[in-house]
Amino acid sequence: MLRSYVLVALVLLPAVAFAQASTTPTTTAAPGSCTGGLTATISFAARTAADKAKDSSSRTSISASYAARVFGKAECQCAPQEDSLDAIYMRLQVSSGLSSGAITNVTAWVGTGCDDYLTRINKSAVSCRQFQPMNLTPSSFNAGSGNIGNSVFYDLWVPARELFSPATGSCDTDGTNQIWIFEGLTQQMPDATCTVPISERSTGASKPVSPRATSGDSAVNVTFDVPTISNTPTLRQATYFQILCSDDAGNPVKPNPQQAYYSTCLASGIERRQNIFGASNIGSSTGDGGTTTTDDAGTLSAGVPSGAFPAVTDGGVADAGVDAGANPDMTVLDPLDTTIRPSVFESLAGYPYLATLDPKYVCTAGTQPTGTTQTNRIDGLVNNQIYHFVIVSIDDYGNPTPSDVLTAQPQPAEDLYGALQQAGSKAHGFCFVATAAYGNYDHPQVRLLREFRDNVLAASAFGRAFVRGYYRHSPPLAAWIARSDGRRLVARGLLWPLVVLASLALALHSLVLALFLVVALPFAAVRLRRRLRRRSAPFVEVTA
Amino acid sequence: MKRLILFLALVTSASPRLAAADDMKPVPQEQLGGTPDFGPRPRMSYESPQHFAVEIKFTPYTPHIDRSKGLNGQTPFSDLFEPQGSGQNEGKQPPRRLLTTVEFDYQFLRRAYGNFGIAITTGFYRRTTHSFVYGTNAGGDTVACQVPNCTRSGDQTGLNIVPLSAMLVYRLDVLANRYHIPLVPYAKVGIGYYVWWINDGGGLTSTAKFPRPTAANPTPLQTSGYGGSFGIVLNPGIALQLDFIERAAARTMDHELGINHTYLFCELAYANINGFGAKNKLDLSDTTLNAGIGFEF
Repeated sequence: MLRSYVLVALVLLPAVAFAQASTTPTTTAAPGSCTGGLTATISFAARTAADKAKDSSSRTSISASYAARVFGKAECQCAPQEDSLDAIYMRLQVSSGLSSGAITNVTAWVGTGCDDYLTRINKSAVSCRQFQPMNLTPSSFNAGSGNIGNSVFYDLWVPARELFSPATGSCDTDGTNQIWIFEGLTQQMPDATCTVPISERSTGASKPVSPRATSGDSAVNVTFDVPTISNTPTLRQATYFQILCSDDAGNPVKPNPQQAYYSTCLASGIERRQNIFGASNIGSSTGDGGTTTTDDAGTLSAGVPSGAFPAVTDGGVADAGVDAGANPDMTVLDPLDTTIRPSVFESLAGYPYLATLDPKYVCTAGTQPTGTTQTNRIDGLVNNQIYHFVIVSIDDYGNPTPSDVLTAQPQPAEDLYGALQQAGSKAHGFCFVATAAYGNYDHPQVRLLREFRDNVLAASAFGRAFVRGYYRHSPPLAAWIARSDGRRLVARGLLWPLVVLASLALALHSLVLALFLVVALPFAAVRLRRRLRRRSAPFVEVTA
Repeated sequence: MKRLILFLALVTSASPRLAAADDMKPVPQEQLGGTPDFGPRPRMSYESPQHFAVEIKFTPYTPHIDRSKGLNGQTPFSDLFEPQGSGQNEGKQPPRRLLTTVEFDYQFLRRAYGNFGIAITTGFYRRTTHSFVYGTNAGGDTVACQVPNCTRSGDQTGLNIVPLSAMLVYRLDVLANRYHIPLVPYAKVGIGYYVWWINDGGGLTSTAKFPRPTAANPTPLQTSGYGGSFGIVLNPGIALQLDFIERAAARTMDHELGINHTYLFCELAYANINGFGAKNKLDLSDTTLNAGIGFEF
């Protein structure tokens, strides 16, 4: 009975777990903190030219985890180019309990401390900036783009670059900002407010410490110390490291580059090349024709898993989740666009071909931080030629942070074996106890062993290799054995089990069976003997 | 021999209290509160059957590779593994590194004067150093550097050795088992076969092209850096039987786990591993000391 319960439990447990997993509600949007009758939610979406013509409900939204990364460094670099419609936008949905036409004044701000009116009106203040998203006027708001019950709501489609504070598209702000919405006749004392937290992660991962490159034989060893920082609002731990390599003429070293684990910035926006957290690819790789497109229905056609990137929870920043189940991490790019955006990595300014972090230069797979020092050996190089290397730290948002450029020149090197050979040693190969023990080529047991070699060992590749090695290396030992009668006697004794094995293998036409018998028979004999002894033991009569 | 007998006699006479410790005196009947008299108590020195032993050994070891046949006085192992440049280390045997070994014994014969067994051992040894950078001559061909004027490469080369041996073991454990002197002298002698391989900078088995490829000979003979060498091993040593520290615990280990004795030991490790002088064998010999812990069960 107990067994039945256990079986039922074993069957049901995964089913229950699956049911729980599949019915986990998806967050549709991150709510803002509102007063005065306003409500606001924030979400992020990929807005394309095709989307623009659609109503808000059919626009392509993107997942919460991706949204949280919209403000990463790569995205920041891409943001200035987002004048095109194919870009990442923030969708800020504001609704009001007020009747249509009653809304008098609406403004939107981004930064910190925007609730302070003086901060807002102070032109020299840098912590809070008003942005002008998409006709945000009382009239447009009153016109609304939809109705929810009796209230009107308005979709604000804000380009991501607008949301960097203090400046549009600024890449020097990290941590947490907020979007502020004020409604009311007077901005000094608004009738209603909403604040929605957002996250900006512009600094990226901490740089590799003490990077250095040393020459090897047709290779270069690139070494660095793993940075030992903890995640903070302003600096992320490196999740992965990759190395970019080029020769002195600026050509990639590897004909087939590894996939980049970081975001790269194309002329038209962001491209996710690789899901660094274990799921399948996100987006398309340059030149491979692309795999992710947006179809007429505004949904992704590529089978990209959702929730591939971890949600960001540190600092209490909302993940701005949007339909994580139906709309996965994605990229909205022209797959034919292969133009890499000029980089802002000043440390690489002298090496324009590396400065873009073009993935075609990636020459190592992503390695996770281990230990205190990591060394990657870049092989397949040509000795006495100059190569350049950049180590890229990648944070958990996929943001790259490059090291300075390292330069090294592979040189031929002499390892221990080469040094031994150079000095005259001929040491090589294994050695086994061999013939010569019997002293006569036509000795019956030598003939038997020869037959064993030709008929059993030669039948398999391993046997042939064994025979080759035996003939290559046995002569010195054979000569040593042959010089002494005592050694020959010992060698014969040692060869006896092999002779038995060879006899059995020849008789049975199977080396495996012979090996089994050689091992198993003595055990069987001992057991049989014990059993017989036990049976024949006399009974002892015990008397009280 | 006479000295040994005299020593044993002295030791035996010096420890009568220990020797008699296990002879339990019968408890007086009146103290048992009327318990029926079943005669004297049996001895409490029961031991489970003992047939095996396992030892873990730690050895500072450095192979005498530079004594290999064919080197003709050159010292490539020392050149690479000793710091060069000071002019004081040329030809000097590189310092020892840790060799960890495990030994398994089968004690096939136990007698009052000791026990005999056969032992097989295996272990692992590895040491690394940076290779030397080759130079280039006027013709563009690579040429070996001249110690001590060599530059180290970023590549590391590694020497790996797996020592295998089969030995006959004799342990004189009569002192410990009968006279409670917790010392067990022993000796082991047998055959060793040391498998070795050398890694190049990429961590692969080294492939030496000798002489180095040149314009005239771009594809020289190529061999791989691995092999094995036979030889003789001899390990005389002495073990300290730890049972005396806490006899009750030792008995409990025996009763519950079947571990009869626990030892700390130290032994001379003589290994003459040179392929019996064959020309194509590395000399991996060394004479050093082992220390470790062992269990008999």
